[in-house]
Amino acid sequence: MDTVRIRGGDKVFIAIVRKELSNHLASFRFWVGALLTVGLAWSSTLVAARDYNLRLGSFRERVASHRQELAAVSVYSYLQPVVVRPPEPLSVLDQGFDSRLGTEVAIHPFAIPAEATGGYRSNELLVSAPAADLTTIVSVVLGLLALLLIHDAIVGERETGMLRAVFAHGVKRSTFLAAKVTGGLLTLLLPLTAGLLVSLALFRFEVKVPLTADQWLRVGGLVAAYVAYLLLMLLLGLLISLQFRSTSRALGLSVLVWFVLTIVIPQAARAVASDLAPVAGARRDAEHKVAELTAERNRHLAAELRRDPLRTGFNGHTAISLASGEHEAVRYRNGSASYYDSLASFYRGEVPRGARQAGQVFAIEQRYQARLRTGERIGAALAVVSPAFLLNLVSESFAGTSMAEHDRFLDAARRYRLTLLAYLERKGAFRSWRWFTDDPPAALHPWPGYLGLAPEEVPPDQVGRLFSRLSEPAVAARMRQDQEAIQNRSRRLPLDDLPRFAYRGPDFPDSLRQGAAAAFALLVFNALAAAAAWTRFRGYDLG
Amino acid sequence: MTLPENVDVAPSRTMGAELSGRGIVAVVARHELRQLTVTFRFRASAFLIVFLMLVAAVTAAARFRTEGEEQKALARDHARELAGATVDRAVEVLQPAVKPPWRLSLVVDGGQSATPDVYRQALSALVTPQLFHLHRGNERLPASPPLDWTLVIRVVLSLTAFLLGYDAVCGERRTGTLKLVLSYPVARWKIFSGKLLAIWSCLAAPFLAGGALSLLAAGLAGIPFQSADFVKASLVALLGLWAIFFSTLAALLVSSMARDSSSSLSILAWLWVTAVIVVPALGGLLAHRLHPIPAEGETAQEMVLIDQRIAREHAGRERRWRPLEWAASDGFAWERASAEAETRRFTQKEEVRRRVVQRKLGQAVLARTLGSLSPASLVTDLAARLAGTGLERDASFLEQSWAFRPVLAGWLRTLDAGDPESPHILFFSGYVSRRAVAGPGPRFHFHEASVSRGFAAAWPGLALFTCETLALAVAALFAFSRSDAG
Repeated sequence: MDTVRIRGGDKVFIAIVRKELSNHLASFRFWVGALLTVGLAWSSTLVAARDYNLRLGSFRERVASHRQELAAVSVYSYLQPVVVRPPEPLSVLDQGFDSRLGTEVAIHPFAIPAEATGGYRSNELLVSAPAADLTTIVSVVLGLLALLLIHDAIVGERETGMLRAVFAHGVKRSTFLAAKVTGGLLTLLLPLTAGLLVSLALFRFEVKVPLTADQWLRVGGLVAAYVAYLLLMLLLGLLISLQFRSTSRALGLSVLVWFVLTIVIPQAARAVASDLAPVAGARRDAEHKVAELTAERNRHLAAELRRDPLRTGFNGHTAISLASGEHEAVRYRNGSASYYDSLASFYRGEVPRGARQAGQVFAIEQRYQARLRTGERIGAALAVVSPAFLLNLVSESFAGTSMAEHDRFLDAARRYRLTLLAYLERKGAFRSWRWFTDDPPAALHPWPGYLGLAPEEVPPDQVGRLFSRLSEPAVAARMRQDQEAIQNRSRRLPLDDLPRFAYRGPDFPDSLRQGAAAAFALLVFNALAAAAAWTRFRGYDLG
Repeated sequence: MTLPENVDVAPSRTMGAELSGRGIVAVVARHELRQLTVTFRFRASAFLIVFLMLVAAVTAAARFRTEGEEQKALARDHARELAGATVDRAVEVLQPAVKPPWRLSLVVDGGQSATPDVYRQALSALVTPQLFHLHRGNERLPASPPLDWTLVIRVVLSLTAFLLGYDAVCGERRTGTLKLVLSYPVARWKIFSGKLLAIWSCLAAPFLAGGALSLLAAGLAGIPFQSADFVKASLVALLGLWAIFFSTLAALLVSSMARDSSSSLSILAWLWVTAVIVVPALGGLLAHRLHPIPAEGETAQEMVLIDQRIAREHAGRERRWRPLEWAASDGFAWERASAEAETRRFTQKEEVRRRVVQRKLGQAVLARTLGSLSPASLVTDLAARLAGTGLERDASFLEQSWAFRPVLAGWLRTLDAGDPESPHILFFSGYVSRRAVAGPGPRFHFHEASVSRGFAAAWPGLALFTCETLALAVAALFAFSRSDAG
């Protein structure tokens, strides 16, 4: 400080900032923090990038496989597009919820998407190692560094008598305070920039997907969140420095405050919200209610099927080939026209009924989701005083790895279901044979036909004997020939006009909206801390 | 004596008279204690320790209760499914092997609140076994390890030891007290021991009080502790006291070497970040890199290859299942061939699944080993081994679950053998006995590790931690005895 020359407010400000910067850069604590930041950023990005590549590979495989399955669909009941959430590239910087939650939703009339399933899972036995991403590094390492750098900003100068000397030269208190904070912030920006550059460079080399302009904007938002957090930590350190008469005590309290705000509160809040607001009972209730509705529907379906004697038991009209898939998907082959007419009348009523029941199930699942949200709110309310928690919320929003982003994906899936239902309605899918069979109406092959019989000519007591004759070599060869013809592409559904699922990662305004509340809280805390520091410093005894 | 807030050499002068008397270590310790216990940092630390241990007790009890209820519900559902079922149905029923809720989750969770605790397997080769964690928790909350004693030991006690000890030597050097104390004809190691004892006691007392209170609270909240649990908890408590001793030694070493209190605490804070956060995180990251687990796609590809191999080797003789009455005409020839193909398919796929699980276990073990380079993580690992939890409990659960399959097979085979009308195509629904299953069948009982087994698993780590402690003690004593009185 002795080299500071007073030549007007701006010059003083710059001189103090430069002095701060050079002092910090010469300190051991800065270099340890900087090296830890860069080292951790390098190692965590390397692993996160590999994890992202695996998830991206898995996503592409799943999309290709679902597309292949969809292309082979020959009946509408099997038309159940599976929508897959792509991994978020910026999860390399902030993992958030991106890899923890399901990524796939099957779209069909019988369920309204309430949660996603599947997705790439990491090692469920490896739970001891703490996760490290850039946000964790900033909140833990740089947050501590901020307090270590600033804790003696005032009290240290006071102890050495420098404070009185500086103000004897007419330096404004506001200039001095602002310069101290700016010097600390500029110092912190160096390891932050280095860590970010290392991460982005590794991202560029390891992940072969370039960032879009929008993603760059979100990276900018992420950096802004980091800066706001570090500024808050500096202001808290400054407040502590103003509160004590000894550097050592200020440092002790700074470390304690950092520990409580960064480690204890977020961890304890999560533990309390998770264990003291349990959701297991609500989940069991929801599962039981859904199971009851499903059982009721199955009973109803069985009863409806039995209404027509043609549909019960095995007879000459029955389709001998039946494939059934998930979510009430069925595909019949080798049945008679009257059998198919009977099935058509069954499905004409039952599919819309199933679609309506999906609403009831969704309402039950929504109640369970509301319970989860209550736990989430309790956790947030308990941890809201922690700047590290707020930083997490904001950075997850900008990284596109937040819970809100997952909700946005589910919203898109629900909208797509409505689009699919409208498409099926337009195609008359629920009313046609094509819901359940790909046998062409003009060229049916009821199984008795292979034995030279009409369906009506099969006596009920001869069904078993006649059916066994289908394994006779000549008959089996004819059937095989027909089955090969069925594999023909012409039997597949023409799906060129099938509406596509539209979901893209969040754009910058989306991210901003999602993180607005937490960002606002972070800014308010900054403003409060700055006001408190200024108020305290105005009447501060220079010693 | 250690307090900048009480920068006053007078107490040391009064202590001077006592120092010439007997029990120097006790005198120094008592004096240090008197000064430490009035400070904010001691009170804050003690409060934090006891508070977190009590929160740990309440949350662990709530978790134990929830997990227990979920497991009971699973058992009820399974019993309902099996009640009145035929052998034919029972072969397709998923039989759960359940790892019971960990009673000592409060003391050392060892990942038990997150790792899989249910392995469900049906005897039919057509049903894929499932391995999962029953208690899903609130997925809208960020994942975090539960609060337990080891978290308090690893995270809180280590930092609070640093906060209490960072200026124990350099702070006194600055105020001149150290010069005065060292001017007395007293061995330096005794003064060092007194300081060590004082800081250690400041943390040991709240830790033990918090431990006792938390056990009491958890017991009252419904965790049915057994006598062996108290032995294991006592061992972890002893380990916690040892860890406090270790952290205090580290604080005194740095304080003796640092030129001032600020440097001392800065160094200690970075040491803490490195030991508690950086090394374990790097251990996990390195384990991912050095011991990768097969990607989902690779496993799926292996499964496809198995399907192709089976299809090739059993061409035209697989997946042909007929109604019973039609199949009986040729003595179930098609079905026996199909069953053989399916059994081979299942065996080969199960080998792949188990290999993947073993690989995951290997990765977790490597992460733990690398993390154990940090004494903080080593202590957590030792606590888990002594209590019989952690990866050892997970591995034991998997082994016991896999060993349960032959037991189930023996039970249903016996039932099926007693039915002369059964085609005895084991274990394929439709081709085994249609008689009702008598009784509930064999139940899975998980065997927890004994205390002696915990010791056997922990001794290499205990030896390592002993060496580290001795080395640190020698270094700290050496640094203190060579420290300049200023």
